[in-house]
Amino acid sequence: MNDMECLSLMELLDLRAGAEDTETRQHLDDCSRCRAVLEGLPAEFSLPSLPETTAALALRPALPLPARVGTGQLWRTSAAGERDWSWVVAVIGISAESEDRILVAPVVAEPELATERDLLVDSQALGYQAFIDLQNLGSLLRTQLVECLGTLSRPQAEGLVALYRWTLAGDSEPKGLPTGPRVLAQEDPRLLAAEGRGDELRTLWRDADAQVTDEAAENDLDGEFNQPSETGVGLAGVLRPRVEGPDAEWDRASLLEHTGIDGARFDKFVTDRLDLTDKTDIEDLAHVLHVLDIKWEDAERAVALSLDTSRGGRREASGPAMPMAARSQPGTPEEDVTRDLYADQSEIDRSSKARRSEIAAYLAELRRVLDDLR
Amino acid sequence: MSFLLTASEFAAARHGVRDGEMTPALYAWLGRLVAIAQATRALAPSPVPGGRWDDPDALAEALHAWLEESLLRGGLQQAFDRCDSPRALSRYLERSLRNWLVARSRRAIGPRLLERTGELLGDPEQGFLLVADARVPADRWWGLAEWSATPRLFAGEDETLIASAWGLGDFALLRYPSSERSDPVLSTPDLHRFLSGLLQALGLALSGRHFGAALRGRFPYAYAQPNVALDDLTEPTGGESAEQVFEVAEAARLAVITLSGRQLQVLRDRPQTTLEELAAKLGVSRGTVDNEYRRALLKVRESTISDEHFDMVLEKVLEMASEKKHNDE
Repeated sequence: MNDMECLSLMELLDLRAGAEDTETRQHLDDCSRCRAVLEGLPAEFSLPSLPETTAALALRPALPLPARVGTGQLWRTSAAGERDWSWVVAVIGISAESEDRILVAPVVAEPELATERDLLVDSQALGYQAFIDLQNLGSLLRTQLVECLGTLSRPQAEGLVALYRWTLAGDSEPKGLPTGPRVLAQEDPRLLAAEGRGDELRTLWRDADAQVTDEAAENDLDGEFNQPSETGVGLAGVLRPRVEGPDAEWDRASLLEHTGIDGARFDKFVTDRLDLTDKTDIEDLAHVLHVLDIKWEDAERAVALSLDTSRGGRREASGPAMPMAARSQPGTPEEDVTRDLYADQSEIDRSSKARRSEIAAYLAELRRVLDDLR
Repeated sequence: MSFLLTASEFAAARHGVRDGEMTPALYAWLGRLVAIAQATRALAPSPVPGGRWDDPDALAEALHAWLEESLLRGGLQQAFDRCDSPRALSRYLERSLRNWLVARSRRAIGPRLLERTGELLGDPEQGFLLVADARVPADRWWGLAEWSATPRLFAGEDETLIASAWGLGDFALLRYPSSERSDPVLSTPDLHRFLSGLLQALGLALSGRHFGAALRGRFPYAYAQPNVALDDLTEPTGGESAEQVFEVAEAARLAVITLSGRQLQVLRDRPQTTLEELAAKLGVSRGTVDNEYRRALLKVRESTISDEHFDMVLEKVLEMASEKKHNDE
């Protein structure tokens, strides 16, 4: 239950007047806050009337529906089954795994809550100041894009990609970007606010997450993925009880702060999604396992199971080598930045043999990093 | 008849806002939203332009100031970017109105913060040490009296100061001053925690200018200039007896309005329940329960007339929640 789930005064007054709305009535029955507010309202009151008038607002720059989704576009998005709320997001790129899946970062209209990992956006693009929340990245489906609201300027879009690469891919920290003050302590209330936003955003990511699960199941049937070689608890089953639920010793925000890892990456761990191909997540996973004090025997079995159901395999070069940073030099067309951000210059061998080999390599490297930490 | 916009009015209003115009129906509805807040006493009178809700022009003044300072400056665009239904719009803008009024109130008297910082630093009982004196307060350097050696002087960027200020955690932001000498944004103990915490975190002496920059960066709304003069704004004082009882009850009622359902539940049940039990009941982690409890206390403090009234207001909030609980059972 978040702040916005509770009823407004107007809704409460409507209910008191006998309005038939099952959903709001149900909320009232379940919520002591709304019942207390309703009880505190005066029995009778009169409303003065105001003369009808209009007022002019500052216009946003007119933006025709773009021909293609691209980096730096700002979209209003929706989630299936959610009738009341939209989310504004900034597009980072198209997923390499599926053309239908878009990697985005939410836009938050409270610029004072930005940290050094978030990109501040002036009022030119949307009509109000905001920041792009790189701490709560996620994927959504193309069908969730409702309305294109604006586009970041080229320097802003490049800044977004640079922050993304720093946050998720481990590139060096970009300098000179408009970001918020640095986070120096776990007590920083901006971390708590980010965690709260993460909770609310689960609704937005749900559709794409469900598709991942469906695709994984289909892939299993196609033989692309090995069936789990043994039954048991995957990484999600090991991590979730330690950060969620009544016996959790850590909450998500504290763990992220302590380990220094990104929220989006952590969300992949707790949904059994590991980077089998490039293994870019091993360091982060090792830190999580280390901080949570998970025994290697338990971790090895769980990680092996999660790798078994994760996508990917052995990368084999098939095109010209091109360092990723070189593909986003200033001046590169945005379409190219978008395409190249996820374009793959190689092919993935997803055969059982290749995947088994990569799983073994992943586990060996994870063990090595964990030993270093301990 | 519903107080909410109809679906077609909502669609037309969103379309109008996109086209740079506010429809008459939306204008009338915004007036209704402010009027309901006024008539139901859901907003404190203090921050209203003019200082009084019962002024015949207060409603129109409040609406126009809200439009001018917030809604027409991106607030409506933002609302329609976020809300997909009339009921969502009512929740969103009701909260927006409350936040705007409170921020306005804080801005009106924010500059006192720095003045009070100087008073605290100069008080020998407070544990601060003058490291380097100067004629102008902004150039005086301060450290902590407990430091054994003379500290080096801070020579970093303001950004470092502001980041360190954020690292000090949450602060309860008082909505009202209880007297001319109290602080409208931070209570005296919190301001002391802020100043000493900043020195402790950096381990270096800071000048008055540095403290000013840190306060300005951490509490920007206290320094932003309001677009409408608030010279006439009046603030309620603590009061006594029947008046005080009424003010406490009103503050508690306002606090409940600002709390979420989960926060009120945590606030109500936490004293009799372990973190683990409460976490199990709500289906969340212990950390989330702990955070919600802290946020709930902050919200009650923000609704409180002054530090001295906090316990009474909290008690009243719990009473309001527990009465409901008894009714439920």
